[in-house]
Amino acid sequence: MIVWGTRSGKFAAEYAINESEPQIELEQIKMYKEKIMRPLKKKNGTNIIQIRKKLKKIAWEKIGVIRDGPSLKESISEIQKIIDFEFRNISTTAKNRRYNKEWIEALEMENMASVLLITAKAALMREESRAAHYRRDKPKTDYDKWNKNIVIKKVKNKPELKMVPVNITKLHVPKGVVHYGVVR
Amino acid sequence: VNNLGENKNFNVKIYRFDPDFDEKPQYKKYSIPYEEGLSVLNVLKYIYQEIDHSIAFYSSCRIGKCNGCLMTVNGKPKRACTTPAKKNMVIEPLKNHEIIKDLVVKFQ
Repeated sequence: MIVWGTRSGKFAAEYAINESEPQIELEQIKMYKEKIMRPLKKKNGTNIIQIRKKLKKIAWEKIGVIRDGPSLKESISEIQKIIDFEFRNISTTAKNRRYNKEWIEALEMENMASVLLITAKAALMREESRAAHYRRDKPKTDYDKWNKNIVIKKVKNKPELKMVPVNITKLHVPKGVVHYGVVR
Repeated sequence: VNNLGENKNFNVKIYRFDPDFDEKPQYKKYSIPYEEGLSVLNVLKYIYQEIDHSIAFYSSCRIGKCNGCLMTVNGKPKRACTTPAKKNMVIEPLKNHEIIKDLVVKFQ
């Protein structure tokens, strides 16, 4: 991965040098710059390592291998609370940009929270058990209702979930409600 | 406190250098609770998470394949992830490389 990263970076830089500059929205740049720099400027805020620990605990205990509706619901409100209230307050120990691990983590953590939120919401929506998704409150595989994909789109900064029927071409898809893990 | 109920800690010494602020590098001492099977990388992660959030080091695969965590341990070049931690060990950046910060060097 180190090899690919170096090469991709090198070629991306070469490509960028020869390309003309696209039109950019300065307002948007300003907004992102402020957001990115906030953890460095802020003093005495929340420590990112504590937030990471909290997210990990929620992920393991409530969105883990065996799930259920109530704890998924809890996890969604807990993650949403972290996104809404704690991310604005992050501050780093070192205040410069030079290989600042906490800052890197702070910038990554928002994506980690988004992925967790999406995972939990989709798992709550899928009221059945199938392959890597097992719910103790919905332990059966439901081919009648859940021969579906869940497609997630970002709408007004929130994930919007949609059930989309699977486009079946060659595979035979079973019917009915069956026990989890039974392959037919 | 380990599983024998004893309070066992050990010290490590780590090279710290931030070219933005420091004129020359210094060595800082840290006290780590002993656990069986600790690697040098485990020690660094413990320090980062629990003692000093400003420490810089890089790691990726954690299984001795990617060489991202190469550094100098007790004078010898080692992978932090597969090298067992020893008490009073000295951790420094890889020699003959430009230092970005602390244990992070420029690989070319």
